Amino acid sequence: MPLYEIRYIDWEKAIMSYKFYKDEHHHIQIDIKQYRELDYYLMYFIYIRWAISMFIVISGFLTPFIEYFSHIQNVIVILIGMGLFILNSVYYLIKKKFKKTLSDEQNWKLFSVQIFFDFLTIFLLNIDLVYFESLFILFYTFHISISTVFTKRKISFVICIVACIMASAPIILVYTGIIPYVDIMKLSYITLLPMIKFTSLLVIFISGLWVYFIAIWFISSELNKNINIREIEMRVQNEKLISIDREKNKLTMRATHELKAPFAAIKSYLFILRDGYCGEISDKAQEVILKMIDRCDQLTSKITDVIRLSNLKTSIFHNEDFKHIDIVPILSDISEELKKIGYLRNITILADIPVREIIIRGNTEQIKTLLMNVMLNAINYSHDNGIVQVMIEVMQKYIVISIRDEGIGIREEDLDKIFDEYFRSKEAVAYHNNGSGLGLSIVREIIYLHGGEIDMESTPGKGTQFNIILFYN
Amino acid sequence: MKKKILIIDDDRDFVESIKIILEKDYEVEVRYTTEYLIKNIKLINPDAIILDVMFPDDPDAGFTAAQLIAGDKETSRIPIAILSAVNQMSNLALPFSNDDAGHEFMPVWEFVEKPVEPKKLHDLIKTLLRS
Repeated sequence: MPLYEIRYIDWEKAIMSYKFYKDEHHHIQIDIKQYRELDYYLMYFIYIRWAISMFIVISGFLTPFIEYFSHIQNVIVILIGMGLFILNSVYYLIKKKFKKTLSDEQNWKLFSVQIFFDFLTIFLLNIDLVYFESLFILFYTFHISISTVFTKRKISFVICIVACIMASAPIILVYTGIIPYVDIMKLSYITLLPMIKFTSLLVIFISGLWVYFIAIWFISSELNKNINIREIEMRVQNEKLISIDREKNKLTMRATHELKAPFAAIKSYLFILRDGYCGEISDKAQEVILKMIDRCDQLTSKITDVIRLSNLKTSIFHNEDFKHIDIVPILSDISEELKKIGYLRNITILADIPVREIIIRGNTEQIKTLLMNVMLNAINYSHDNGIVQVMIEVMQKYIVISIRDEGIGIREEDLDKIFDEYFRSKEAVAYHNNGSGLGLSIVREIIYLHGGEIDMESTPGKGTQFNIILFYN
Repeated sequence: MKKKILIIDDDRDFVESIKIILEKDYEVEVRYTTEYLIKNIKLINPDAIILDVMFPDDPDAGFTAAQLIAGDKETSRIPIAILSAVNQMSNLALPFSNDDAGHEFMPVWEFVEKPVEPKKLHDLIKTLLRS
């Protein structure tokens, strides 16, 4: 037994049905159904159109018996009604036969055709009745409203323009004298059926107005209710996604800890051996210990890279994850830190970083990772005694951070692969065996998340320059 | 008299290695859980605390412990350093820090990523004891 049900129209013009019910354990469950009910509404219009076409045909037969409608060519009215009936039947058959195969696009195109012929019917009736001050104009607005819901914006605009032309045409025809003008208000006291007083034209017109406005209100409020429900639903789904993402991040951190902690203990013991806390060791043993420490570093680095990349690819980043940050101290700190690594191979880091603030919008930790990865690459693949240059160029809407090395460079055929996961060129592997192959993949993901760009120039044997573009907003 | 350092970490191997590094210069006490935290700290009365973050039953146990220690009048004077295998700096704002990026405030003096070089560990302890 459902507790309650929500139905609404979603972007794809399908109806979603959410039934909340309790299972045998009294837990609230959601039963979600998605089915196309655009058909339902379109069929609904077909039924209404049949009713209207029958009404027009019957009116055509009755008008000769009402004195003041004698100017109306009732044959034309009957023909218009029958034409509408036949067209409507064609729509009906098409819908029935191709119900399961008609795509959304075909559906709304068919609907647009129906609207066009409805307009033609209204126009012809308006001309024939020569009452351009009639309620028929309201049918145009009704169709325009419906078309804004069920068709694309451009199509509904075209429908609107067609309605403008068809609604204006009788006025112009009366003005130019092509069709005669009849003052509707002079006929308003006439009763269609003399024995029943309330069948006067005035009463019928006013009643028609009431019916029309209430119909418009009903349809608009139904749609509005559906849109509100959909907005609430989207907000709920969004919060759920954010919560799942936070949970995923917690699990990622846990996984990182579980994988890195054992290596931390191993390295700690190796430090103890290396530094003689357990007594003096031979040079050979020292050498072995240093290699073991190095391999531990490689492994933990790879673990971090794999988890980091996986996290970047699957995370949902929200506005609050990005803040206004000053890139200058970040770049300065990383340069200083890497100078210690460069020092071991006599590689000089020349950082041309301005003293003033340069504020961009980003995630601090990710920006640090991005810059660290690119700069570390520059050092790792530099020749000994080389220079790594770091520069910032400030443009109107963005900044360009350039990192240039005088290293082994990248071959042209490898340039479009270097951001691929686990890709390492033969030269890179030969020169620096320890890379994970994920550093630049991580760089690419971070730049993508920040809406930035990266490009590079490289000459094998001479060096590489990376240009990172980050926007202020 | 040697200064007393309390290490709170569930990784027994890591704790053992740290103990070996420090026991020459300091008196080292060890706890492997954050259970009865304040009671233990008052009993031991350390001059500095080295605290891990993730414990088996609670991934944020270390942060919670730091806040409990800072919240107690008797123990709030004891400087704390967090040692963690995961770099969680982005989640912390240390006291006396100029970080105004809205990070969660954490009453610890230092945050160091495991493993830590013996020299750096000694420097860390000296920094804690000076504060």
